[in-house]
Amino acid sequence: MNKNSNMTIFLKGILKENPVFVLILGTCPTLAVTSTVTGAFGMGIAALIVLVCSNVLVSLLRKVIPDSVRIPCYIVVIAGFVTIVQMFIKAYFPEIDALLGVYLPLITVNCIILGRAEMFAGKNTVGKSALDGLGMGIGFTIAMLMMSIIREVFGNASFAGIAIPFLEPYKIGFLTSAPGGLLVYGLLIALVYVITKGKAPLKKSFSCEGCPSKEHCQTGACEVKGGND
Amino acid sequence: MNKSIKSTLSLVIICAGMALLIALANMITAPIIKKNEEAKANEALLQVMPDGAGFEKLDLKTFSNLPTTVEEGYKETSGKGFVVKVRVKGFNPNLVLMVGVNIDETISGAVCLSSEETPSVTMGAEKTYGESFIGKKETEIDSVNAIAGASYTTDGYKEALKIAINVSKVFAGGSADFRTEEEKLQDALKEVLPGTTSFEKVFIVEVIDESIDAIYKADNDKGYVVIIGEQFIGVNGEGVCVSEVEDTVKTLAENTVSIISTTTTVDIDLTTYANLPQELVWAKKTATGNYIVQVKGDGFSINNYYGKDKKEILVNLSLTKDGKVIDCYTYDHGESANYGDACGKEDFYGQFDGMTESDLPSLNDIPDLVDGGHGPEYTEQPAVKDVLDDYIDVIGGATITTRGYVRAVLYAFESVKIFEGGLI
Repeated sequence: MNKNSNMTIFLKGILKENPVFVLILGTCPTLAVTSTVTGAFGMGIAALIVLVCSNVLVSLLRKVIPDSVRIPCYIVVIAGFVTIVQMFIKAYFPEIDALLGVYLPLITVNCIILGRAEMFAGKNTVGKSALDGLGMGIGFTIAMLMMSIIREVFGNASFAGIAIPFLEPYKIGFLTSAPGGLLVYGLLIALVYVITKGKAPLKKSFSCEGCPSKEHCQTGACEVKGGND
Repeated sequence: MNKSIKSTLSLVIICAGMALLIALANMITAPIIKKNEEAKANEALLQVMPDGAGFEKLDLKTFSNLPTTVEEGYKETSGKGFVVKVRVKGFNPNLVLMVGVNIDETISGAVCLSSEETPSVTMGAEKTYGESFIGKKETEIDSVNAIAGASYTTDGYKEALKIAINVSKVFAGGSADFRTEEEKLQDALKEVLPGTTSFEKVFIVEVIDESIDAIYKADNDKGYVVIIGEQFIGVNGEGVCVSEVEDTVKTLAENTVSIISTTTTVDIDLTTYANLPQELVWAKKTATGNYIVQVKGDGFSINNYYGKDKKEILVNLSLTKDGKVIDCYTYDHGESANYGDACGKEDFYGQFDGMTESDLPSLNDIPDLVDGGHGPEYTEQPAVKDVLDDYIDVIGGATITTRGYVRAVLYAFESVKIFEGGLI
């Protein structure tokens, strides 16, 4: 498939460049809100909407935003959309708002969103940016759901708050704790690595190209530091 | 265009554009969010007034003299009553209750919204304690059983409910008295002897008429107030009754004040007596032959295996020479808050007034404390409680304290017997 085809752009975020399991971005919400399926789904959808909207707007404005202030501009756009999404969630899904708590406004500093604005939307057309946002958002949501299903079903013997009585005696409470989340996260990263047969792009191959520090960077420096959130 | 101006302008325009979008979103969502919040608030209100049709928040500023403990007030829209949010002090500050009060001034419900009470003491009982008060009037609140071992929490809870009932009276257009019982008493005493700042209860060491309930002394030597039932009789510094009462009552009050104000005492040299209990701290004898003693008891603090600052219960008693308690009060103690510290309240020590040795078990009848291996404080003492229960009201959750107190009183009786037995 053509590397720049719409389908490729859309699909890469789901598995090959999954933001959570491959790019190792957005780890804070991944660990924090995946103890329940409802919370994880809410966070995934909220991030997806912000991703698509911010990607579209950043792409629209890419030619008018001066290079020197592009990061503050992206942050303003992202923070604005996060605020709007938060308002709508508060209005129409107050239970999810209560569940996500502080992690909802913290989407503003989610690396995935700023990362896609900087690496993709700032250089591509509106349509492709929207597809990239959609693919990455769905990839993020799927990752959140996978994590939360494992943690809630096996850690709390329930699914989306509905009890699964036959699992009650076998539940592993540890999975709902932060260390349990890290363990599940690590196992899923390994699983994705196995599925992609190790062909998922290494950080070096996708990060340097769009990196604003590319010119001043010591080659490979970011590989040592790894991703962060 | 200058590069920096262009950058600034772009940023400003983007900020303005996003602000516009946010304003638009706010316009759409704000009424819904407000409605949600009201529904959520109503949910809490419905918990305490389940048949409420709707609630209207009241502006507390429009009511004068409301206590500062009242944080919010709501009126049930169909006139069923009011809901009051009160923040009081239990064992710790910030015991917040939402209390529903029916229009007939009975409690429709009470829930604890938040508390900082010690979980291991209350076991979370403050969350459901409110259910015990449903249908109760202000005068019936005190009769509801306390949370076991949590007297401060219980007192705070009951205080909050009384405040809520009185605030509801104000909301309904009436008036209410928000003073504490102690404040009410002090104010009543001041009315009898005007110009006095405060009164202190007199420790009675002479036998006085049994109809007299209490005597209070003015802090500025302006005189005394003698309480007989509902009557407050003032006797000035010259010993003259200043209250309009019957002559017999007037004479009784003046004579009583004369007796207690002219009492003289001499210290007793304890070394001149053999076999006095070690628990006797000091003793005095009045000119009329009564005794005033201070005795110590081994309460929880002393018997606490891990206690660092062990402290005895010090009890002051006045007794007649034939061994009858005239008056008794707790001078000092180191008993645990919310448990044994109830020994410092008149409700407890007042029950020893008028007792003789035969009204209590003997020292030998009171069982030793059982130590389960980690100190007696971790071990139930049912045998002790069973014995004490037959004689006095044992402090809930503080059998060891009660035992120590009773032992102290018994040592007082023993001391008086030795004093009356004569010198060595």
